[in-house]
Amino acid sequence: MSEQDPNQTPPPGQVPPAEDAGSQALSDALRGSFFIVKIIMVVLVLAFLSSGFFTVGPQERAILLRLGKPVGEGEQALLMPGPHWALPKPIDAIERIPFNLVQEAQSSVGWMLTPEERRQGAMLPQGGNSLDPASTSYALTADTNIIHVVAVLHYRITDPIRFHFGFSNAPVFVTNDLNNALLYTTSQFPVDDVLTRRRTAFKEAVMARMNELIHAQGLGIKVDQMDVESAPPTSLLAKFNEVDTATQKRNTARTQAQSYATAILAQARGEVAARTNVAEAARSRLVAMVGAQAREFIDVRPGYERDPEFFKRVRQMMALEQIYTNAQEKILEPHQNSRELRLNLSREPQGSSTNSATP
Amino acid sequence: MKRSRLTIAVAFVLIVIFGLLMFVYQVRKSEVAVVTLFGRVDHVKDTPGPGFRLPWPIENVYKLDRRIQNFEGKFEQVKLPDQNLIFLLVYVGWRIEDPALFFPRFTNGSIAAAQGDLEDLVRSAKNEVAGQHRFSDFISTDEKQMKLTQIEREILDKVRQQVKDLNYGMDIKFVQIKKIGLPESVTQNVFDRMQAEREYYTAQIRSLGEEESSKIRSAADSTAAKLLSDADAQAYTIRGQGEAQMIKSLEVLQQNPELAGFNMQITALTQLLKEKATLVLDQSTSPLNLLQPIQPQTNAPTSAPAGKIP
Repeated sequence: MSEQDPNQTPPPGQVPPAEDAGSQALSDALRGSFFIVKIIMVVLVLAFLSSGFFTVGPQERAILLRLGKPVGEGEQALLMPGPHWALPKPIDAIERIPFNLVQEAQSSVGWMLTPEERRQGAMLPQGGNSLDPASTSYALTADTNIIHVVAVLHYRITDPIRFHFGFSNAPVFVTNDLNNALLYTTSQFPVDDVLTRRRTAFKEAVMARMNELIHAQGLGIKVDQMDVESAPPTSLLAKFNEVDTATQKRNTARTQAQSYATAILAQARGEVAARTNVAEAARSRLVAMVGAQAREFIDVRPGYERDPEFFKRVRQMMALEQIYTNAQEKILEPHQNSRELRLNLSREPQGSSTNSATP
Repeated sequence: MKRSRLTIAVAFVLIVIFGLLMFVYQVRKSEVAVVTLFGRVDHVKDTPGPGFRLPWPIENVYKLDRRIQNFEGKFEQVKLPDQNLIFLLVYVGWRIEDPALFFPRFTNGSIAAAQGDLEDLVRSAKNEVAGQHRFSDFISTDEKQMKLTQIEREILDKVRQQVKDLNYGMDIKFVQIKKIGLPESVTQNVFDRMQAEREYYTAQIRSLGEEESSKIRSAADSTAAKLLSDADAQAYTIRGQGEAQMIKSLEVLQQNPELAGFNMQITALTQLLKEKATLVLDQSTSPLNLLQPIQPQTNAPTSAPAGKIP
C-alpha cells in the first residue's frame, strides 16, 4: 500500500478507492450517532426544563427566590397551592412555609416533665421536701407558693414572610414567649386562683400576655387555642386534696341548709296565709251574722213592740216548725205524761250510738 | 466553519458560567453579605439579589444571617436588696444591625462568638437590675407593685446600651424573663409553710361550713317564726276590725235587748238542731198537744222542746 496524499482528488472518471466506501459508512454512522446525540440533548433539555416544575401543597405557601431575591413584594411574593415552575438552581430557589396549618407549641418550663416526656405520657415523679432549681421546673405564684403549670398553644402562621425570614427559629421564640406568658401570669395570681377559684381568668390572662408578646415581637402568628394545666407539688397533693374535700363538704352543707331554709320559709308563708285567711273569714262571718241580726231586728222590732208575747209565740212556732222538719228522727211517746224531752243530736243514720240526756 | 462556530459558542457559554461563578454572588432575603477586599471589609450588601464581586483572592464574600436570633443566658442566682435569693433565666432576641461592625468584631461574623460575648453582658445587666428590685417586684398580687415588665425593660436598655458602646454591630430587640426559681433550701421552707397553710385552710373551711350552715338554718327558723307572729298579729287585727264593725250592729240591737236576746236564742236553737237530730216528744209538746182533745184553756205556757247537746 503506497502512501497517498489525502488532499489529492482522484482523476475524473476514476472510481473512488475502497477507503471512500469506508468513509461513507463512517460518515453515515457518525450522522446516525449525531442524530442520537441530538435526541439525547433534546431529552436532557426537556428534563432540565421540566425539573423546574414543583407543587405547593394546600397547607403551605412558597416564596420563589430568583438569585436570592423574592419574586414579588408582600403577599404577591407568596405562591398559592397548585403547580408552579421555576428556573433550575442556582438561579431560582423555593422556600416552602407552613401556612394555615395549626402549629403546636408547649411551654418548656414550669411542669414536672419535659415536653417530650409529657408527649410520651410519662408518670409524674414523686416529689421531695424540696426542689432543686437546676433539675426541676416550677412556677411561683403571687402569694409565694410553688406550683406546676404547663400551657399548650395552637397557632396559625398569618404572616409567613415575617415568620420565616424575620426569625432564625421562630418556633423557639413562640415557645419562649409561652414560657414568659405563663411565668408572668402565675406571678400575679394567688395559688388557689390558679388551681381552682379563677382558672378561667388565669387562662385568659396567659392568653392576653401571649398575644401582647406576639404583637410586640411581630411573630406573624395568630393564637387558635390555648390549654393551661396547673397542679400543686406532688409532695403536697394530699394536703391540697384535703382542702378541696373540705370545700366540697362545706358547699354540700351550705346547699342542704339552703334547702332547709327554702322549705321552712315556704311552710311558714303557707301557714301565714292560712292564719290570715281564717281571721278574714271569721271577721266576715261575724260581721255578716251580726249585721243580719241587726237587720232582722230592725225588721221585726215594730211587730214585737206591738205584742211581745204574740211575737215570741209566733217566732217560737216558726222555729219549731223548722226544727221538726229538719230533724232526722222524731219519736213520739204518747203514754208518757212527764214533760221530758229527749234530743239526739248529730246522730249518724246507721250504726251510731244514740246520745241522750235527761234534764 | 460550522464546527468552529459551535466550538466558539460552547466556549462562550463556559466562559459566561465561569465568569458568573467568579464575579457574581447571591444574597438571600434572610442574609446580609459582607464583601472583604484583601481581608478588610470593603462593603456590605444587605438587599437580597445578585451582587458583583472581584474574584478570590481579591475579594471574599461572607454571608451572615440577618434574622432575629434567640439567645438564652444561664439560670443563675441573683441576690436582691431585701436579702432574698432568686434564680433568673432570661432570653434575648437580637439581630445583626451593622454587619460592617459585627463582622470584624467576631471571627468572620460568628454568631456563636457573638452570643459568647452577649452572655457576659446579659449576666451583668441582669444582676445589676435585679439587685435594685425587691422580691415583691417579681411576684405580687398587686398589679401596681409587680414590676416584671419594668425589670425586663431595664435589662433590655442596659444590654442595648452596652452593645452600642462596644460597637458590636448588634441590635437587642427584646429581653424577656423565662424562668424564676428559688434556692433549694428556700423551697423546703416554702413547702413547710404551704403545708401549714393547707392544714389551716382545711380546718377553717370545715368550721366555716358548719357556721354557715347553722346561720342559714337559724336565720330561716327566725324568719319563719317572725312571719308566723306577724301573721298572728295581722289575724288579731283583722278579728278586731270585725268586732269593731260588729259593735256598730250591736248598737242597733241595744235598742231592745229583750228582743235581741230572744232572736239570738231562736237563731241558736235553729242552728243547734239544724240536721241529724232525733227528737223524742210527748203529746204535751207543742204543737203535738193539738193531737189531744181540746180542754178548757189554761194560762199555762206551752212547753217548748229543750235539748242537751251530747
